[in-house]
Amino acid sequence: MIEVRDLTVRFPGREKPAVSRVSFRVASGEAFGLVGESGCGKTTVLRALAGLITGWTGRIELAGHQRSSYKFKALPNIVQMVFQDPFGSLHPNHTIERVLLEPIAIHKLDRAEQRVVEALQNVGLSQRFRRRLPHQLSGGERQRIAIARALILSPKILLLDEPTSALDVSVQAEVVNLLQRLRAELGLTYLLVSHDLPLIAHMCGRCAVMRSGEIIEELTAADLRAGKVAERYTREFLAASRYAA
Amino acid sequence: MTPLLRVEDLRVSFPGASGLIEAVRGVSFDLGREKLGLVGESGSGKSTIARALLRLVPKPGIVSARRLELDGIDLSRVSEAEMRSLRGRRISMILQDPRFSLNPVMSVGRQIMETRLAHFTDSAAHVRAQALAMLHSVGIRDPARVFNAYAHELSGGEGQRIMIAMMLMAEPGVLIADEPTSALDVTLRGQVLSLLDDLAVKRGRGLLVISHDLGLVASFCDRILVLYAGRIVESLRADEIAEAQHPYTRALWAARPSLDKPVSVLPTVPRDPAWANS
Repeated sequence: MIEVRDLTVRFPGREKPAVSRVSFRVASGEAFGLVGESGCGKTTVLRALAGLITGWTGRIELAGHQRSSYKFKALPNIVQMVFQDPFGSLHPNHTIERVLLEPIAIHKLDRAEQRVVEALQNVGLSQRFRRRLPHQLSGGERQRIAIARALILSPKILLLDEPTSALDVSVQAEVVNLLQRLRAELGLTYLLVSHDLPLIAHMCGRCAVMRSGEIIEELTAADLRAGKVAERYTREFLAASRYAA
Repeated sequence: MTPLLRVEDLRVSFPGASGLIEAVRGVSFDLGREKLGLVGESGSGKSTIARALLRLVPKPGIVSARRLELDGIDLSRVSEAEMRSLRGRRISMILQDPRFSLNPVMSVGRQIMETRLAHFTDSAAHVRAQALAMLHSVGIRDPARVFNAYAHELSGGEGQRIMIAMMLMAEPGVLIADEPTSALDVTLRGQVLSLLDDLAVKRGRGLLVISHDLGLVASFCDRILVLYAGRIVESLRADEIAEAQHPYTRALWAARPSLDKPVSVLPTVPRDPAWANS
C-alpha cells in the first residue's frame, strides 16, 4: 500500500539532508510507526508522502500511484493527513458543517448531506456539532472532526502526525480507540509518527526508528515491548520512555 | 516542622452568564519539602490553583480560602506590593511551553539576571557570573552562547532549562511546575525531571508538579492529589497508585498505553457528576 525507497529530502541552505535514503513498505491494512526525537525527519517523511513537499529524490508509491517529486498532485481519495494540533488545523471561522462540506464540494461528490451525517457518526459525534465553530469544541472533539474530515473522501491511507500528543491522556485513549476501530472497519492503512513508544506499540504492528534523517532499525511491536532492539540509541530511547512514563 | 505551603478550603470562581462558575471548589493540602503531584484533566482547575497560590488569577475571578500560608506568612493579609516581592523570591512557577513564556526580544541572560536583580541588591557583574554558573548547573553545555541567545534560537529542552535556571536565581522555597515536560520529547523529559528532582531532594525545596499525566506524576512525585471538577477526589502516596481507591484515579491510571501490559482496547475514563460533589 505504501512503498518508499531511498527517499532523500534536502532543504535549501542546509548541507545535511533532512531525510536520507529512507526506505520502508507498509502492507494494506497495516499500521506502521515512525519513531524518533524532534528534528529526526519523521514528519518530513510524512509531508513528502502527503505531497506537501516537492524536490525530493527517491521513489514514493501509494496504493499503486507513483508520486511525482516535482509536481504537486493531490491524491485525495488515496491519502489524507491528520495533524498534531487540532487547534491549528481547523479554520476558526468555519462551522464544522462547512469544514466537512468543503472537500465534498471541491471534488464534486454526490450525496453531500449523507456523507456529512456518516462522517460525524463515524467519529462518534452527534449531529448537533454541525452548527458549531472549532472554539466551541474540546481538544478531543476537534481531533475527531479532523479525523472525520480526513475520512470524508474515503482515502485508503491515513498519515497521522502525533495525533494525540496535544490531548490529555484520558482523551487520548478515546481518540486512539476511535482510530483503531476505523482502521478495522474501513480497512485503512496507517502511518503514525510519534515519539511515544507505548502508543506506537499499542497502535502499530511494526515501526521504524529514525535518527538524524535516517532509519536506523525496524522493529515489531513485540520486539519493542520485549526490549529486543539492536541499536544502542533505540535502547536509550526505550529507557527514557520508561523513566518518563 | 511546619509545611512550606498550607492551603485550606481554597475556592476560585468566575462570573458567568448564569451566575458564578466555580473552577476550584474547596481544595486543601499541605506542601512540605517534597514532590507533590496535582493531577487532573483539562478544565479540572489545576492551573487555576497554581495561579491562586501566586495571586495571579485574572480578573474578574474571585479567590477565597480559609487559610493560605506560605512559609508561615498569611497570604490573605499581604498587600499587592508585598506579594510582588514574594513572587519569584519565595514561590515561583515554571510554565508548560518555554517558547511562549520567555520574552522574545530580550536575551536569555538578561532575563535570568532580571530575576535576581529584582529581589537582591547585588552588582550586575556578580549576578552575570551567577547566571552563567546557573546555566551550567542546569546542564547547558555552552552557557556563554546561551546567555546571549534569544528565545527563538533555543531548542525546547534548552528553553525549559532556562526557565528553571531563571526561577532558581532568586532561590524560592516553593516551586510550582505546570506541565513542565509536556512540550518536550521523551528523551528530554527525563533530563528535565532529574533536574527538578535534584532541586527538591538536594536543595530541600517544596515542588508542586501539575500535570494531566498520572503516569508521569506517579513515577516522579512522592504524593499525588487527584483533581476532578475543581475538587480533590483522592490523595495518595505515589507508590500506592496501583491500589488507588477512587474509580476516577483507577481509570486515569489504566487509560495510558503501556509497554509492559498490552491491551487490545484502551480503557476510557468514565465521568460521574456525583464525584464532583462527594
